[in-house]
Amino acid sequence: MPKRTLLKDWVSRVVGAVNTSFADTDRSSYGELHPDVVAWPGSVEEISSVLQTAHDANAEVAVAGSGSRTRERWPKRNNGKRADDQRPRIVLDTSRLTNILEVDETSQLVECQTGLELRHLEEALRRHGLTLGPFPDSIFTSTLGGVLGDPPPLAYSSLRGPLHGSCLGVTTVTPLGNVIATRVAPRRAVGPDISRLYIGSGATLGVLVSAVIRVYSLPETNMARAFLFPSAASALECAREMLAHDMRPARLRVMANEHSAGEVVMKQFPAQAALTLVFEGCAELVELDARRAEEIAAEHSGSELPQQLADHWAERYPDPNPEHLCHAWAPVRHSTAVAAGKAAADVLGNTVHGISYDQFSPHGCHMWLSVPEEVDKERLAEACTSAGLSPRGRRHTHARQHPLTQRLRQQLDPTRMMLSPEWD
Amino acid sequence: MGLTGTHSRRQTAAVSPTPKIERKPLIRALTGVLPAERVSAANVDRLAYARDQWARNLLAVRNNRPLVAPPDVVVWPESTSEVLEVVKIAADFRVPLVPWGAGSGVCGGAMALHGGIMLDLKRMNALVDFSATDQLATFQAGILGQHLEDQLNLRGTTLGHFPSSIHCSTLGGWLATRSAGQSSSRYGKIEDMVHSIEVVTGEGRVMTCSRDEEPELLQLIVGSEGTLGVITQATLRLHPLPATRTFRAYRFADTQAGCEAMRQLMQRGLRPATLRLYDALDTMMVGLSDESEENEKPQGLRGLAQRLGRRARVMRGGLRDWALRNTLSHAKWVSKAGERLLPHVGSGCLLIVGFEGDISTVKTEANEAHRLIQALTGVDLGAGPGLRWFEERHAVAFKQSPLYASGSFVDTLEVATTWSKLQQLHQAIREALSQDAVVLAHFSHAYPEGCSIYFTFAAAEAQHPRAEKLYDKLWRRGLEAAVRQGGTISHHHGIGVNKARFMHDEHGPGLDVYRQIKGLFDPKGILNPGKMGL
Ligand SMILES: Cc1cc2nc3c(=O)[nH]c(=O)nc-3n(C[C@H](O)[C@H](O)[C@H](O)COP(=O)(O)OP(=O)(O)OC[C@H]3O[C@@H](n4cnc5c(N)ncnc54)[C@H](O)[C@@H]3O)c2cc1C
Repeated sequence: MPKRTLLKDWVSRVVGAVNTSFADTDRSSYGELHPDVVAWPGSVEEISSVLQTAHDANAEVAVAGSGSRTRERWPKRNNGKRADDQRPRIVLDTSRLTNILEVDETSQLVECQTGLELRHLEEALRRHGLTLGPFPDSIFTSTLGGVLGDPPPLAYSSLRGPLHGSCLGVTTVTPLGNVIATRVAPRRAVGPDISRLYIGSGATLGVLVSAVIRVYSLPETNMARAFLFPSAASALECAREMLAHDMRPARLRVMANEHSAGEVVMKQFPAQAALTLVFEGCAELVELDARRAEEIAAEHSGSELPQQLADHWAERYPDPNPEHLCHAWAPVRHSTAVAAGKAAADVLGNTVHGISYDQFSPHGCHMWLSVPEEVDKERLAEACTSAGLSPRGRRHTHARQHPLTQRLRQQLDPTRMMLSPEWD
Repeated sequence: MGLTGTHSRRQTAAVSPTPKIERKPLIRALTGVLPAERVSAANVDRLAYARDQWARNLLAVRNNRPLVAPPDVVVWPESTSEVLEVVKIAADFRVPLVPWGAGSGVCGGAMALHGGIMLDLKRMNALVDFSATDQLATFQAGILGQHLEDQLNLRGTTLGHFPSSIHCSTLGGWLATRSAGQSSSRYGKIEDMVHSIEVVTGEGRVMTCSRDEEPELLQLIVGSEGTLGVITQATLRLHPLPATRTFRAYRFADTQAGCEAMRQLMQRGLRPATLRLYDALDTMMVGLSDESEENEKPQGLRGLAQRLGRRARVMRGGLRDWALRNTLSHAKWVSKAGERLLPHVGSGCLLIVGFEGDISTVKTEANEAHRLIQALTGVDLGAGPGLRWFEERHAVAFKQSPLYASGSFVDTLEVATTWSKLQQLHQAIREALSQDAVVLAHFSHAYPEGCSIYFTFAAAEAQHPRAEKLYDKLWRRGLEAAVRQGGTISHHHGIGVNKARFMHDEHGPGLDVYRQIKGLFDPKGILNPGKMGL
């Protein structure tokens, strides 16, 4: 194993001394990782060279963005020190990769490096009259690499789909240092979609360096609506019907109190369910959709809630759940949504603080269970199983743990050089 | 009938030759898992499955060489477990196995280049599950497109996938090639419609993956053209049958102006089910006329162009052959003349816009589109051209034979790129092809970020092997131009054999990743060898 100083020399030759550190202050700022060297590369070429260097040095590499979300889940190191027989560890920090490489206003595409935080990207886009889309505020503190590498479940709009679905092409560096830049076209029929492989795979199959993302014109107008229903079933049926009839709200959420203490939201409406909507886009279509929403809600015994409340929920959307609660979520189909909520509530009883449904499509939605942090984890797991929910509730857990993906990882990274916060 | 003819291995030199296949033990093993009547090594069957609809194969047929790539044996499984058994046998015998949907592929993807087993899925055509509430339906992969749509229509739903080949292509083929239908701007391509699939991998495992659970794996298998596994069934996302449908057509001065209208329409969030822009020559062939136009009786060159266009559509028999051959054998001259004359003839470029769905949404979207297009100088041509297109939209297949019989050939090349590169891509490919072929193009399959261009090129060369040489040259030139301009080499026809040598240009080192994926799914390399540049 090369000495830490030697490794630092090698790395700093690639990214420059000022962009390399083995100072304790820097090394300790990556949670459990405790790397030997931290490198802040500035280009795809530098990343490729660092990875080749790491490979030659039999080092481990962890990719860290500026977001803290991923920092806690790394494989631990004893006392932060490397034993003599342990592999050296490099952190590749993407926080210098913050360039917007191109804004193509004509095609409404932006090419951007993955270290950039989405709020900065959004600010830049707004200067061009563009936006990433109607996603919740909470995701805008993540980096682009963060939301592509480990897509947060909330980054979804019924109008635009999941944020990572807007990615049309990526530039990645494989663990062996090869650069793959996928061609950008609206759709292609040229074999498997390789770029999808890197989305949701953390940095385990390669380092995402930049991506081309579809963006949208700033909406001409937007409008919020909220309705109260006698039951979760009627609210969910109403939501389903709206989508089946061509309506495309930017956001749609159902909050059901029937089986929960209702402490999360709407304490004032016990045993009822609320449906909240936000429409945005061109004025004519927004007005039409808002009008039709009222008609369809009325057909399902929904009564309109005051505009003030609709606007309030729209602003806080879709993250109205207090931090002290923990959440489990999973995709459910329309036909099983109500039963899933009831099954979970039957197990958890009155510890359920809220059941809500969002990420609607004409084919289903995601159900969220909100329970206090101190809830018995075994009971939560039992409730999730009977509701068909994944207790960990991470979208990409399944694909990542699929034996084929694991074997592919083995092939692309035979020495297991790339560290993953979740896999190891 | 004896089997004579050429077994072409033209483009597969890079693939290591398969050892000679021992047919008898192979057939014995296959009849051990399938009834004898669903296993055939009869020459008539081997001939029937010796080629797909790749235009180069049609040249071979015209030159009395129909036996392009016959399989050793054809099988017709009826269930996933039967497919699994066949795949295991192929692996045990180390013989190629080629999935066959309906053979309508236009890139040579379903050809048994190295012989082996042709696995026809057409008997796997059941509707497995249907949920009106979830708007999802599961079908076996061998169902023909129109049958699938009919079953859905009976239940008040539609898939929204209408390729011109809907009568002669299967669900499995669509998924394997990433097919696009004529309403893709509203409903998306097949990869957008699939919720989950079941696949038998070359390793001999049945695997399912879905949009919710394994989205990455799903999008690896979709588009893999039989190289990673045999798709045995799929669950699809449905839509309610549209309550209404409207069309309106417009004329633009040139493709640039027309494309600008398409772009703005898509980026405004409208969802047209039909959005097709024809270039000037294609517009002349399609014809602009609406009843209101007929009454106006356009004069001068424009009137002549329109009448010529209509003539070309109705001309029959020997006269048409003669005219076609003569026109096509002077392709370069015709293209040049067209370029000079067409702008003055002034027929312009036809844009067809159609909406379908709920009545109030359709009305609002159509009004909005109309307002936008008129502001962009589109001239309203009424509903006529759109309605005519709708009536004839699946008739394309039947127009090829006379052209081939006349000693010419025709093929289509579909590419795609972002809006900002679209005009250069159009220009570059047109120039590359029009030195030896007459070239028409239309822009369809529009998305907020870009669009596909569908070129039709026709050239005259009756003699073998000169016809094949000219054919290959045209494709090479066309795809080189696409790569140079940063476009993709295929939007929806796939790769097969025809575009295989351009896979490296398309993917770069990503092709090695595909090869590694192939190694995992199909370690013995039995699945559809010789395709996709692997
Ligand atoms: C006249 C005409 C018009 C056309 N119009 C269109 C159009 O509008 N849009 C469009 O997209 N295409 C069009 N095509 C092309 C063709 O119809 C499509 O490529 C179609 O998807 C092929 O389906 P198929 O069932 O015939 O597949 P095949 O031709 O039998 O096979 C195509 C490829 O898919 C593989 N394959 C087939 N089934 C499976 C399976 N179950 N599992 C794994 N692999 C499989 C084959 O091995 C082969 O590589 C047209 C073709 C013709 C002849």
